Amino acid sequence: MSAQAQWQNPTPGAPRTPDGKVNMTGPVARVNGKPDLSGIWQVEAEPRGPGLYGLGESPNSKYFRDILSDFKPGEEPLTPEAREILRQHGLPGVVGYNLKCLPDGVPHADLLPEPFKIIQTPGEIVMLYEVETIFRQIFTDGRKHPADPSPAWLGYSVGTWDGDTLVVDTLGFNDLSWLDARGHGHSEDMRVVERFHRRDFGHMEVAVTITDPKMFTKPFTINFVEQLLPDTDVFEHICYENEKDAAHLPGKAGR
Amino acid sequence: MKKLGIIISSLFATGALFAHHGNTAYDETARVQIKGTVTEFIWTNPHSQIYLDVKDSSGKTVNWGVETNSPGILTRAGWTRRSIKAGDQVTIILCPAKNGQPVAYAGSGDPGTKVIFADGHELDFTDKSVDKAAP
Repeated sequence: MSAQAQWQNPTPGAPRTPDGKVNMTGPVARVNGKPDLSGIWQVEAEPRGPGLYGLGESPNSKYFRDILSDFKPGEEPLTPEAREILRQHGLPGVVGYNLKCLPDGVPHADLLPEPFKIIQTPGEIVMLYEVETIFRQIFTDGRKHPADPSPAWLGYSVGTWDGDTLVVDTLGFNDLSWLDARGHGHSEDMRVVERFHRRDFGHMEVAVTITDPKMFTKPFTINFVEQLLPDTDVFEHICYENEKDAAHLPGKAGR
Repeated sequence: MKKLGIIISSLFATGALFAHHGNTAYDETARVQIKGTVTEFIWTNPHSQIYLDVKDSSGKTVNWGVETNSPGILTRAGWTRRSIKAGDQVTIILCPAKNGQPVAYAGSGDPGTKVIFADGHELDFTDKSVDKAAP
């Protein structure tokens, strides 16, 4: 066996400090005149608060738990339909599809306690999400969205550049995924705009605006930071391999 | 050596529980130390499992099941599928089951949980790639 641990593979082209570590505040490489967003990214964790107990995995973004956590209780911009969906998702025994080994949606997949990899190529940016080993294609070849896209867990994404910020416009979602662990739903009409700005080698600022008039009385934006995971990889994660949780969860709903 | 089942710390105030992968079964506010002989280590998604034989206070051997992280999270924490094997004598600091059954959780997100081997080396669940970052 190699002495090199499996996770220790130097990030190509990374700026380094004299001790060999990756300089997280170092410069961002550019390709074809634009910042290269390639790398392995993990949402910046926040201290675990009381509401985060029981996650059992890495510390999370508050938006992983509640996409509307910036709003005061009672002031969330929810339509009556959205409130009813949230109520149903909160009933005992009801769990999201991701707990049944189906995919996470957008932007929840960006907020997981496991990382994703960005591969930037001419005409297309690929995201490889470790959880469920799923991919996402962001077309930067100038195409428009399809007129009537097939509903999809991760939607249909086209990307354009606003200066050094990648703007990813996604629609064509199915209405199955939950927006957060709390259980906020969305409709097939949801549109998600993610703005990715790699401010230095180790940090990417992300602003996500969600518009879904069936569910939200106004568009809203969340802001978070993705941190580069240096000198490592993403790995296969096929949840259904040995899923044992569902049988232990109470109730019948959500199965 | 601490005795089996002693709650060695209570790190957090009790808070609302929130199911992600069904971990509401475990008391993540508590840390318990158990010592025993590994019977099986299952390296699998979504959660790996460590089974070990532990003698309870009456001397009876009980097989414990300790749930832990995915192979991906464990790999970035420096583990491999061969990190623990049947026959290893280990001490595990873990979050016990709320219902008192011999099942538990030890993994990322619950600071202080770890596996201590007979020769003194330890494995925890923190992402070691972060150690490669100069802030």
